[in-house]
Amino acid sequence: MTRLSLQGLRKTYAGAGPAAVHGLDLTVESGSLTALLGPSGCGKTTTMKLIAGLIPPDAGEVLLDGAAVTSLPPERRGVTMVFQNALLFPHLTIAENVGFGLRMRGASGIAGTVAAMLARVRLDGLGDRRPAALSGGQQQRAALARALVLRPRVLLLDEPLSNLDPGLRDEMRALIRELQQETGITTIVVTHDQAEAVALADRIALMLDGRLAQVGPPEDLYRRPGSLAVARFFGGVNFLPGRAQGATFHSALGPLTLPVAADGEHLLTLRPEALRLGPGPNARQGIVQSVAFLGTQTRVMIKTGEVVLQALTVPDAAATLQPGDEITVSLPPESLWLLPTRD
Amino acid sequence: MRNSLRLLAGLALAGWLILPILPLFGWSVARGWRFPDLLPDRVTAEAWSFALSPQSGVLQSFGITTLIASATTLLAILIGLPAGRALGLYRFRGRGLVLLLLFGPALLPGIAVVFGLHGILLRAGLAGSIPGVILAHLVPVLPYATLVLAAVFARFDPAYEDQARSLGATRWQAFRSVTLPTILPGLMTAALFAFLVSWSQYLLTLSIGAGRVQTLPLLLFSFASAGRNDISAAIALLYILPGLLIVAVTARRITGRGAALTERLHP
Repeated sequence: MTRLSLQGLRKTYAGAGPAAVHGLDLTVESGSLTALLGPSGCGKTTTMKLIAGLIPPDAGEVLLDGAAVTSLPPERRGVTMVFQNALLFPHLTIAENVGFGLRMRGASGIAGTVAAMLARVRLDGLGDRRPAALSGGQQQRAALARALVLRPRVLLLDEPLSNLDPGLRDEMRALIRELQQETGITTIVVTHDQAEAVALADRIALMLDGRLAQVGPPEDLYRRPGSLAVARFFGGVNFLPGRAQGATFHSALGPLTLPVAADGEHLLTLRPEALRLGPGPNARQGIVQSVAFLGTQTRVMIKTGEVVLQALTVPDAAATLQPGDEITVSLPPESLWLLPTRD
Repeated sequence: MRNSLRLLAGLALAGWLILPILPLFGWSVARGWRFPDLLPDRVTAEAWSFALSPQSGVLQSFGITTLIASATTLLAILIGLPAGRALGLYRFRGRGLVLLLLFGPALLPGIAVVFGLHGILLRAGLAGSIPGVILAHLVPVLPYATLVLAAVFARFDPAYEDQARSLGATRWQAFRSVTLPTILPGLMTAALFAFLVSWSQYLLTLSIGAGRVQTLPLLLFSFASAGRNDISAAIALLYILPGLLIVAVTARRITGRGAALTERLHP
């Protein structure tokens, strides 16, 4: 059980190198599963390599339980990184791959440990195969086993699900979650998929352009984004500039009741699934602009005065709606959230 | 029809490569073999027993040539590994210049390189010595070794090394247990060709060795110019031995049976 802290971690590259990291401060609690989430090219993998010690930072420290490991080489950190492409060594069998780290350490009784680990990731009986003889999902599980068998202080998983078919993805996600809970190894999972991060992690660290935009439980990033960029990344679409005065927000939609008192210029946001089609508090009259069936949800665009609001609703609730229909929409005060006007 | 054409082409190629070697066997055991005769007057082992005796110096030359070629190969691989790695994996500023400098001496005619090289090694006190000859051989050998290794590394994903390090391997362990087994077939090819290029040097050895380093091609040439066809033929057969061995080894790999070889090398 190890707590990982990053302090002012910084790495830039000359020219068109990998994505840079501009001063990262992050604490990952002991035994937690944290998702490092962000669009591609935001510096997630660079951050992982900095933690693993595979590249040196320009500035800043990596601490494990308060002790700086920044100057230690990767093999002496107790941090193990699993790469996106599994990277099983092609000249070794699966069992030899899983036993690789133990062999490097000069451990004894490797065969037994490896066999138990292979069974744990449901690869029993495949130990004698070469990596190329395994499916993508099996390779990914072998790569996970190869890291877990070392009982690292910190486990880093770089996009562990991105190369898998959707069906296998759920299975692998469940396995990662299960093994992490079982072993209590402090784990960071890198992903660009917010749904994956939400489903997998206790905490999400959202990274945008080499900086941490917000860190917190998944629900916080959904419901209480700290900035417009965070809200947008999590699917926020309704943004309304205005001025708060006490518990009232003055905007192009007129006065709206806020859940808590605030003051000054803000950007009001409301998640599309929270916008209600029907009467209620903060009700407005509008005209349906478009209705789009998305499968599990239907997207309805509603024009209210000069403002276009977007609602996501269960398809049944929007079954009879046609563009041009008049409709009452309401903005439940408890779902309203204020953002700063600039990031 | 196509198969018989292919067979014919194969036979022609084999003939082209092997036929010039066949008379050597005859010459090395012949006595009085004049032009129109189909067979020599007398068959004797004299040339062979002389060639293999200490007086001829052939075995000593064989040893020196092997020593020089092995040392040159070792140095070429030791320098060529990091150089080939850099050239194969990274696109860095000045890469073209490095390539030009590396291949410059190999592209120029040997006779043009040899005088400057002789001057340098003379001043360094290495002319006429085996180390001097080894250094001189590196001039044509190193570019070959580096180029082959650069091609090998161009197909190598360095992320495997990162993965090994992250699993607890030291830099050396990562190289030894992951990089080396992966690049071994290419490394062997580079080493074998380095050995052969050094093995067949004549002009560089003659000039830098200043007559004091007698490698097999030098000895062969001196017997040939003395008109001793029998002894020359015996030496020539010894001289082509490593080449034939190397062709046999690499041919196995080219025909796909090499996989079995690599399997056996890393169980």
